[in-house]
Amino acid sequence: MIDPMANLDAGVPGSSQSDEEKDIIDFMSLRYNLEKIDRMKSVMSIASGCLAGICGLTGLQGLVCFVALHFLVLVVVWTMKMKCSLHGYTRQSWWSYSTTNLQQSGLSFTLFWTLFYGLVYLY
Amino acid sequence: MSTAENILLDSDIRDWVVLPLFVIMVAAGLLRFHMGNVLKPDPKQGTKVTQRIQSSVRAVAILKGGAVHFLSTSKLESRKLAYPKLLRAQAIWCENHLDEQDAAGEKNGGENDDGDMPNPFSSMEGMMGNMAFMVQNMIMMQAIQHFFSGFILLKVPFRLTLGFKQMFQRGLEGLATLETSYVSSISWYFLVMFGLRGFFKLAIGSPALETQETHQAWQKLGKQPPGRPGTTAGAADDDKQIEMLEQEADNLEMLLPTQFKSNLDQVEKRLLQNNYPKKKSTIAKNDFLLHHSVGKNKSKKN
Repeated sequence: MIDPMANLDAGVPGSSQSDEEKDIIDFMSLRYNLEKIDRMKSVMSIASGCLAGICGLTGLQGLVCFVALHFLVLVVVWTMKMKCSLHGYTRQSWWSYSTTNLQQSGLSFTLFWTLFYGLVYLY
Repeated sequence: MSTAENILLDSDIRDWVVLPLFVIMVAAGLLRFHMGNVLKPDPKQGTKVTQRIQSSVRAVAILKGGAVHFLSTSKLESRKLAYPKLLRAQAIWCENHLDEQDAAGEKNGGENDDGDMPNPFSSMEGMMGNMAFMVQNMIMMQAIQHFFSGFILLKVPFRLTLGFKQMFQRGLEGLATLETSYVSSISWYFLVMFGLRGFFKLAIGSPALETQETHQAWQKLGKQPPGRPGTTAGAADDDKQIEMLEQEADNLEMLLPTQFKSNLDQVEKRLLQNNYPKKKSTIAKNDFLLHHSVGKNKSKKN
């Protein structure tokens, strides 16, 4: 089984030198890592939506909760699983790491936020 | 800003509308996914050219990808030198094969080969999936407007401007002073529809390992997974694929480092580290077949 967050550079030795700006990486590991990150973002958005709804956050408070939890999870993954090396595990910039699938996460968050707010405070 | 008190709603609405609608949408999404899987047509046999090209590309991918883990340096070097030549030879074979096919086709009076006929059907498969989704959407919307109109369903936890009132409070036109946050059933439907996409990514996820392995097995047998547009390759596609072979050959020559080193070099030293035995000659210089000094040194070594 592939080690979770497999280091992409471990595939080919000497891949840190880029010949003619080309990068040799292990595509299977890259795809696996990106899928795992996607999954984590989905779970996080649903869980934070439930949390915001149960706590009764409204308006801007809910948005702040979503953004804060989103970045918290990303930073925790970056420190603990990627050993502070974003480039080694996903060939992404910080911007795309933070904002990929943000819209889908946001919509899931809104759905579960609305649902749990209604269940707790309206019914 | 002062928080107004929330309107308390009838719990029957929660029990009979909110939660059932949520469950129905989840079930409908899963049903759509599984029906799509069941109704998928059988895989088609690819053309000879496609088969050859795919197997060549697969071999190159293995070499680029993980070959350093299980091949020694000398084998990697020899592959690195041989593969570009092999790819180019494959490209020439494919071109000759295509030329022969064209010549044979002309001889037979230009019959349409099988590639032409199934084309309209293969492109429709993708559309049919979308059509099913749209039809289901419209039916659900009509059903909801028929059965669940005329009452407040939920309150969205954020403020909306008055412009949204007309959209989100269908069937509640009489209540002009109602806050825009209180929405009717149709907006709950839209919220669920958009919000469940992320949920389905978790529930259904990426294609299961089984399907991936099945696809790989099909590719080895030369069949192609169905449902991809352009699987029936015309002449132009074949030329493009042959160009791809040439490109792969060029890439191999450029990409791989000049010293294609294997991970298996020095692997004994890395594994044993300090326990790596130091070199000691057990045979004396003048000995030929007699190892009379082995008995003495054996105990020292261990």
